[in-house]
Parts: sequence; structure tokens; C-alpha cells
Amino acid sequence: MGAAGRRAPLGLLAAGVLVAAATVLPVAYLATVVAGDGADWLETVLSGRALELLARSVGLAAAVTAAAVALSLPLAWLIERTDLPGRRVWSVLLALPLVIPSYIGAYLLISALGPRGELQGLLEGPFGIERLPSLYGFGGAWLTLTLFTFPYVLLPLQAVLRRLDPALEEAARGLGRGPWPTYRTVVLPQLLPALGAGALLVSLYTLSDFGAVSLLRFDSFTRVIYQSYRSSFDRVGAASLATLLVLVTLAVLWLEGRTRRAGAGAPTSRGSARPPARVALGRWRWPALGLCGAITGVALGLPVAMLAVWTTRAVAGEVQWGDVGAAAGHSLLAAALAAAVAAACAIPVALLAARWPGRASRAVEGAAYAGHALPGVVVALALVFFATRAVTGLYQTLATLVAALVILFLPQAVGATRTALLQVSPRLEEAARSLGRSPLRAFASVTAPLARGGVLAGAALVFLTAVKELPATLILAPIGFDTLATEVWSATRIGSFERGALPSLVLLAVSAVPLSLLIARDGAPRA
Amino acid sequence: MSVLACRGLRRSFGAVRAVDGVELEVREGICALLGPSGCGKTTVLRLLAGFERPDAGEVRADDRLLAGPGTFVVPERRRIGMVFQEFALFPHLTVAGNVAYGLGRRGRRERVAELLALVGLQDLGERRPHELSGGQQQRVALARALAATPAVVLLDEPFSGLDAALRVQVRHEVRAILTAAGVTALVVTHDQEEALSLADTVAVMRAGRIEQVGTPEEIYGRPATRWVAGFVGEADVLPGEARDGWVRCELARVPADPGFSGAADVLVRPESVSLSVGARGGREMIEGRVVEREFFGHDQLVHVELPSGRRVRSRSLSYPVWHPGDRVRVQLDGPVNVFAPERDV
Repeated sequence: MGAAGRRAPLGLLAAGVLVAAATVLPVAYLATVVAGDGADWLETVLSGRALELLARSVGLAAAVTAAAVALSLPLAWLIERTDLPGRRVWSVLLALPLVIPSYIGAYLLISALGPRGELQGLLEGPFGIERLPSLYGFGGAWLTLTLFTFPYVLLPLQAVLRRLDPALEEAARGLGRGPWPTYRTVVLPQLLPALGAGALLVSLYTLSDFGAVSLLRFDSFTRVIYQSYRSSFDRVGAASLATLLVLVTLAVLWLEGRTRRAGAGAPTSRGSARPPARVALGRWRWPALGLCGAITGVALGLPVAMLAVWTTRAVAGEVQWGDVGAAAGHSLLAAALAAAVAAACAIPVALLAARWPGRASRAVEGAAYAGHALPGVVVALALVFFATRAVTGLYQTLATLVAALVILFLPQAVGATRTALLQVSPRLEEAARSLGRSPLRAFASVTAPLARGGVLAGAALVFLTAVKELPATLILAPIGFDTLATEVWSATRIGSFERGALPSLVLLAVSAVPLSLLIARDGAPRA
Repeated sequence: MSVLACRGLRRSFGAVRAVDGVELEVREGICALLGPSGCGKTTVLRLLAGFERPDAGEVRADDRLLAGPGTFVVPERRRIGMVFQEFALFPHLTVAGNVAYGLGRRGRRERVAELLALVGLQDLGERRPHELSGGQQQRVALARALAATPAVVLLDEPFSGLDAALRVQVRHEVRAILTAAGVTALVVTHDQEEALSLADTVAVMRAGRIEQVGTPEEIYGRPATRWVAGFVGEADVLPGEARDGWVRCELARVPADPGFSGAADVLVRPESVSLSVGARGGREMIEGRVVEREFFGHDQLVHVELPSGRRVRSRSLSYPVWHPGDRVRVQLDGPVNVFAPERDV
């Protein structure tokens, strides 16, 4: 009942449709450009090279996802269901790799394990080992992406295991099932939705990742799209590949939606009155500690140590403080503008979704969530086409860059704003109406002050994500507009590791903020 | 004259006809709209307040058309106060701020003080809503609705957010406040005891329609339909036979409409059935067997099986103590209602 029967105000609907159209327009334009050359598109897409790319990208995504799940299942169980020493510390340490953007992770791993890295230097002298197994290619990309994304699976698993009502397991045991059949028939089905959600995040992250694959020289979609765009001769070819990549991400989203619908139903008992009994590890605690320690060491210890090494060298040597400052200023400027625009755009979309659910609102919200499914490279490329062919004069301006960042991160602002609005009961606005206020004044005097926190949180989230964005910035930033992210990337590409240290340090500090908030709220992170 | 009235009011949600031709006149005093959950009573309230648009029919206040063909007055222009189910107090405003919300600048301070005094919260004006008890929140919601001197106040399940112990007390307070303010009120509730004890007029609603309107005594004592009889209070059904102005059933012969003949259902309320030991001459008496007893402290409900195997309930003061298996004399000792047999219920 309630608002469901009423129609959304026309002005609001118009604003929402405008935002939705603006988010999908560039990509739609890209699609029409490509479709204009239908035969060419088919030829490109069905070429041996494209199919090979497809196999590589999907293969990498599958391998990373599988590894993340394989790591997370035992880790989640150890932290939540056993008497593992230092559980709370491990819980935080194992979540921290999420803070490291893939390109910074790749930079630090290359500087440690790469052909001219520290390990090689250490081994060459005394042992005469001249070649380590190469970090470049599939192996390196797989390792890097797994290490820095597995917490996307681990965190929701932990959350579910923690909230699982122990009475369910006890009921199964009481009905004659042993521990393993109980796990298989009662616990695992309830873990599946979280597992699916986490796996989706990891595979989407891998498919759309540009930083790690480009630095580790693995030819996946994003790297090849970027290269053919940069080579300037084959922009339509790049666009064709981009549309193919979008199809793949959509397929992944569709797959996840299906598994979620088929997954476990809603719990009948809410929450758990008491924590589940923990398994005593006994002597097994040593290998368990070893596992946690090894993963933390590679995913967190090694990068942090390398960052410390390069930072001290950078500070001891000649730091171009001015360059770092300028890059930081650029990063903050672009991210702040993106945050402000995204927060403003999110309001009509979130209002429609929260207050006037229906087909139109769903369509608007769905379009606003396009950024979820679109890799940064694709959005950037779409905007390049749009700004060079449809509307001239926008190419390589700050406005285009901000537009790309807004399209990519609008979902976060919409999510936060929508949640805040849903927490304000529509009855409050009705009360204001019955006391003589017009709809607009009722909104301004009641809903707006109550939802302000959520809108600001959404803006902050967009800011913190946009500040470390790499591929769109690389493609769209005006000439000379270097940001912290592009600094790290180009420094690593030419192997001047010292130059990447300070920008990385700043970015890591910025990235740590939202994760610490998430850990404090004890919830699973969103993309 | 009615303060607020609706005629032929209809509203559907998808395929569900929530309100299906409601006629209702709210007169001065307190009127209760009583019905089971899902009968559409809250939708009627929201249609009256202007939060929903009717598909058909009209809403009038005094003689002003509020909603009808081609007319729709928005909620803020209706001068209808509303007290929401969960009170809907503005969490970012103080108690005084909430009460002042609907007032203009002039004389605001005095009016707020006046209303806080009326609801007995004069010292709590600077508190935030969450710092108040449920009963106090209820009174703030009422004060806020009354502040702008509305023509009528609508209350949506006003006591359902309160726990049982508090409910009766707050009900008294609310009735006293409404009476003191001299305002007309329409209270939506699913609790028949609440409706009967609070209201001057009760309208019983079922499946989108009004079944009966009357004083609480009429609704309870002379229910218009068998469904109303069963919904408002407890009743047992005994089949009977009507002839020549009388209905004969297992317990007694009772007067009925002279034109009525053939099969009939006699609805017996538990307090009309009295139990005793031994015979008293003169009046018709039946022997039954006690099968169950529910003891409530102030009274008791005794289930008795009649010779035919049918059961009736008898409500009496808590003495004498009956036990299952006891043989008792069963006597009809109060008004009953006769209806034509009905298949549902």
C-alpha cells in the first residue's frame, strides 16, 4: 500500500530519466558507432584474435575467482568457527589487501619479484641465480589479482558464518547428521549467496581491471583495448572489443543473478542469540597459523615492506615534491568534482527508487547502475568517441574525465542515498503534509535533514574510489593532468620504482579510510 | 451534520479492491472504524486524509468537496489532522518543534505551550522524541495533530504501537484529550474492545465495505449481520426453526420477526448463558456437561456440551468453580440474535 499507488512527480521523474540517459548515453553511442559497421564488428569479434582474448580474459577471471574462493573458505572457517589464536587480528589483516589498488599491488610485486626487482638483486650476488621465473604474463596477473581481491569473498563469508543461527546446525545434528553432512546440507547452502556475491565482485574486478594486467603485460581485453586505442589507427577496432567485453560482464552479472535466485531462501529465524561453538584446533593450530601468516605475508607484508623500502630511497634521493603535489592536487580535484556531481545525480534516482518503486523507477535505477557492469576502459573509450564525434570541444577536458568518473561510481552514491531515504519513513513526510506543508517544503523540512548523512556518505565513497581510478584517467585526462594513479602506473612501466613510492603511499592512505569504516560497521564491502 | 463524509468511495491496488464502495459519515464526537486487518480501513483513512486518490466516489468535509470527479484537494489543504500508527514524530525536532511544525509564526509559542499542557507534557518540550516513552510519544503525536485546529483528527491504529499494559491507560488519556479539545475524531482499529470503549459511533468494515454503523451498544447488542456478531465479541450458533413469530432452538424459544419462518440461526453470547445446579421451576432448562473451563481471574468461560452434542460457552463471575464432567443446568438468560442461516462464518 502507500506510495505504491501514486505516480512519481513529473519533475522528479524527468530528473531521474535525465541522469539515467546521461549515464548510458556514451556507451549507447559507442554501440551505435560499432553497429554502423556491423559487418566489420562481426569480423573483429569473431576473429581468432578476439576469441583468443575472450579465452584469456575469461580464463583469468575464472582462475582468480576460483583461487579467491579456495583461499577464503578455509580462512573464513578458521576465523569464525575455530579457536585460532589472534582471530580478531587475522580478521583485520586479511581484509587489508583490499586497500591496495591492483596497479599499486602490481607495482610493488614487480619491484620485488620482477626481473629487475629486489629478490633478483639479492639472489644474483651470492647464488648466481640470474633468472627467476618470470612474473610477467598469466601467472603474475593471476597471483596479483588473487592476492588483492580475495577479501571480497572472505568478508561476506565471515559475515554469514558469524550470523548463522547455530540452532540450525544443532537441529541437523539432532536429526542424525554427522558434522560433514551437516556442513554440506545446512551450512554450505546458506553460504552460497555470499559466496556468489563475492565471486561476482572478484570476477567483475578481474574482467575490468586494467592496472595489474597492463603492468604485468598480460593481454586481456582491457590491455589490448587500451593499446589499440593508443595506437590511434584502430579506434573502431578498440570499440568493437569494448562492446564484446561489456557483453562478457553482462553475462557474469546475469549468471550471478540466476544463482542468487536459486540460492537459499530468507532465514526464518532472525540472527542468533548466542555465538556458535568453536572447534578446538589443538595441534592443527600451527599449520592454520602458518596459512594465515603466509597469505598475510605475501598480500600485505611484502607490499608494505617494498613500499617502505622505495619510500625511504625516494626520500633519501631527490623527490620531485612539486610533481607529487601537483599530481595529488589533480587527483583530489577530479575526485571531489566527481563526488559532488555524483551525489547530486544520485538524489533523484534514489528518491524514485525509495519512494515510487515501479517499472519506471526500476529502469532509471538500473541505468544508473550501468557503471557496475562497465569497465573503466570502456566508459573512457565511449566518452572519447562521444567527445570527438558527437559533441566536439569536450575531448581531453576535465569535464569529460569527471563525467567518466561519475558514470563509473554513481552506483555507490545511489546506494548510500537510497539506504538513507529508506530509513526515513514516508509517514514523516505525510505527517508534514497533513500539517499544511507542500510536498516540496515537506521534503525540505523533514526528509532532507534526515537523509543528509547518507548523501554525504555516498559522496565520500565516490570521492575515495574516484581518487584512485586509473584507466579512465589515463585515457581522458587533459594533457599534463597527471594524477597520483597515473604517476604510479607510468613510473612502474619504465621501471623507476622510486618515483611511484610517494603517490602510492598517499593513495593507500586514502583507500584505507572506506575499508576501516566498513570493518567498523562489521559489514561486507560493496564493489 | 457530518463533519467528514464519503460516498461510493472506491480504491483498488492492482487487482485488489481495498475499498469497494464505502459510505461513511463522521459526526461530532469520536467515531471508530473497526475491521479485521486487511479489510481496507487504513486505506479509507488515507483516502480521507488525501494520501491516496480515490478511483471513484467523493469525500466531503462539511460541505466542501475534498475529492470527487475532477476535484482533488491535496493533504496540506484539507485541515484534517492525522495521528500515524507509529506516530511518525520528526526525529530531528524537539517535542515542541514537532508540535509547532504545523503552526504559523504568530502565537506559535503560546499555542505550543497550550497543547503541551493539554496532553500533560509541559515540562518535556525540549526533549527529543526518542527520549520519551511510547505513551508520551502518542500524546505528542496527538498534540501535533491538534495544534493547527483541524476540523477532524484521524487516528490510524493509535494504540497498536504500545504494549498491552499501557494500552488501556493511554486509551483513557486519548479519549480525555480528544473530549477536552472538543474535536471530532475518527479512529481506525482492529480491536473491538478498543472501538466499543473509545467511540461514540462505531462503523464495522469488512472486505472493503461498511457492514454496520451504530452506537457501541447497537453494534454489540443488535449486530446487523451474523459476521458482525461474530467479529464484535464472542458468540455461539445454535440452529433453530422459526414459526409464527418465535424461534425454537435447543436452549429456548425466543421471539423473532413474525414474517420470518423456516430454518434460522440463533446467536448466543456467552454472558447470556447461565449455569446452575439443580432445577428451578417454571422456565425451560436443559442439562449439559462441562467440558472445559478457562479461568481469567475476574471471570470464567465455561464450555458446556448440550444433549445434542453442540457446545455453548458461558461467561460468568469466577464463582462457582466448575470442573470438566460436572452436570449443569443450562439456561438462556439474556438477549440473543436470530439470523437466516449463512454458509460462511
